[in-house]
Amino acid sequence: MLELKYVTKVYNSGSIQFKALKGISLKVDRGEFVAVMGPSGSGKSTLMNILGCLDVPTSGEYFFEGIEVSNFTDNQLAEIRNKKIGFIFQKFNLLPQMNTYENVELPLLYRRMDTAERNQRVRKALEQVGLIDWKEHKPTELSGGQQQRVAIARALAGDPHLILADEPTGNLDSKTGTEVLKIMKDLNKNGRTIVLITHDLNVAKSAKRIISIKDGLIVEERRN
Amino acid sequence: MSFAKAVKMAYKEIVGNKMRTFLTMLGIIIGVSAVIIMVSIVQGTTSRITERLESMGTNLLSVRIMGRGADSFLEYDEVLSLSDKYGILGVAPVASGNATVKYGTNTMDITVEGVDENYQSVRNHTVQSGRFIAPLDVKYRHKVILLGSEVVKELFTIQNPIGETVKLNGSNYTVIGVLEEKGSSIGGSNDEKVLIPISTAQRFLKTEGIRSLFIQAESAEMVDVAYAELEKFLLNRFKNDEDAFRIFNQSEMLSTVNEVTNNMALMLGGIAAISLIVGGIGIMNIMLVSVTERTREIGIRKAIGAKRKDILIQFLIESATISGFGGIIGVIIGLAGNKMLNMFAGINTKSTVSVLVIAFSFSLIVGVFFGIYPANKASKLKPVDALRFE
Repeated sequence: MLELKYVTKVYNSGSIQFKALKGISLKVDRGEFVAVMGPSGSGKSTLMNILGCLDVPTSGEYFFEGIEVSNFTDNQLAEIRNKKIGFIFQKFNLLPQMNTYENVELPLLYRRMDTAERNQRVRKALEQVGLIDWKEHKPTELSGGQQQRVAIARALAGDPHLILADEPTGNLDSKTGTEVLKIMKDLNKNGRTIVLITHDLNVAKSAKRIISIKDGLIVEERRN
Repeated sequence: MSFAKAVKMAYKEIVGNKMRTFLTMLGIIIGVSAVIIMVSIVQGTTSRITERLESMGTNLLSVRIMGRGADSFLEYDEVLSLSDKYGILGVAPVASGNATVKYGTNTMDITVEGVDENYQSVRNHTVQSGRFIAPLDVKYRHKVILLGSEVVKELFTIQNPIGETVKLNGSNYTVIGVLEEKGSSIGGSNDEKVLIPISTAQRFLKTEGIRSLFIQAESAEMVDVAYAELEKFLLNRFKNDEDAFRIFNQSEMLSTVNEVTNNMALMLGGIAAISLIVGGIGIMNIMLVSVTERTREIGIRKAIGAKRKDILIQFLIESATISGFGGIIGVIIGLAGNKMLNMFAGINTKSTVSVLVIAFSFSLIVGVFFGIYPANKASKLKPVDALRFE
């Protein structure tokens, strides 16, 4: 489903070059639950940006469902993000001025979906995370765990092929963190491909495969 | 995203920041209302001037015979024959001078105009009470007199002047009517004058022939034809001496007035429009601040699939909504300002729909135009960088 071939990413800030990824090759199959682990500065966020089509590699190839996307335009990447990828961020990244319902609805609006189908999908996603009764609340009126569940609902509403989670439990206490991880495991059981990025081994253990990276290179790969 | 949804979203964003939005709008509000008030004042003035000019009679030409001497006047019959010329509807000869009118112990210095029955229709004078001068009055040199409304006010306190006798430089005249009030015009007050039969006036003022006359063309289109006919006749009559007479064209004067006031409206409207542009720069400024503040929001939107166009449209709609709302409020304040000027300062204002529409659409255009740069900046943000923004 996803395949990286010798992907590098170099950041230029002025005259200084920084190699965040030094040649990563990686394959993720449909239905997998993969954790990418590494300390801060290891390049895992850069990897997540490239996997999530938020950024393009400096060199190398990235096949998303068999299509090479590293030369795609901004708009083509936006379309992939919109239709095929669901994001779950450490900081939830909900829009504060919108209520739960509107936040979940937003990616579908950018897809220009008609009202009836939108409504049905948003409800289904909110029921899945158990927040249908909170649909009128603004993010600031919700707990951290609830906010992350709204974010998961937003990722699910678009019915994506891939769910990318960047430290989804990083801002949660351990109890709600476990809850969120359980939801993700359930999603994987239902057949969704999940890539989880974390620095926490306990979190990574939820995944079936753990890839460790350090200084922009894969150093270890093992299966649970 | 549908347009209605996008507008709703923009509205929410704007309402969420009331004070800032209001201050941003203020520039547009002031601009739009200033444009409307300025242009309305000029238009009001124009229509008042036009009204005045037209109250002197429409499609009017006036002729003045210049020079002195035995040959520098027209005969009464000669003048009347002019009305047979092509394009001319009516001719009203006038003999005028100054005199003192007296009733009882009240006296007043006034203009005396000797006229005949044609004067009423040509000069658009209506009689408030009594009757106008009749052909027989002219024929028999009756000593009858019509008074202007100001004259009546000055001489008579309560009694009905009709049938009374007034003294004009000492000789007795019977009042047969009172003229409708007309207000003053460029030619002086129309209400501080009296009318007597032209034949009586010639004898009273000791003048010979006709040295001044008004001519009414059949229609606005025929004014030029009448002018040409008149000029031909007069040139012929005065042996091609162009200096012997002078013809004033009222419609020419009207168009000059209109030209001047239109220019004035453009100039004042233009000055006011500058404040609209300044308001637009205010919008641009605040939108740029807003883009920076909302970098993270833009990142989130892009991450979940917003394209450049979606972000661009979102910010454009926001700036257009601010300026559009400002425009609507500006129109309301402009209209209210017009009313107040009218009521409290007595300034004649006249606002046409086209001015309102132009001022409002200009404000919208300003909003969109000055929104382009910030919106474009927002749409160009890279999702990765924008998401990293705190």
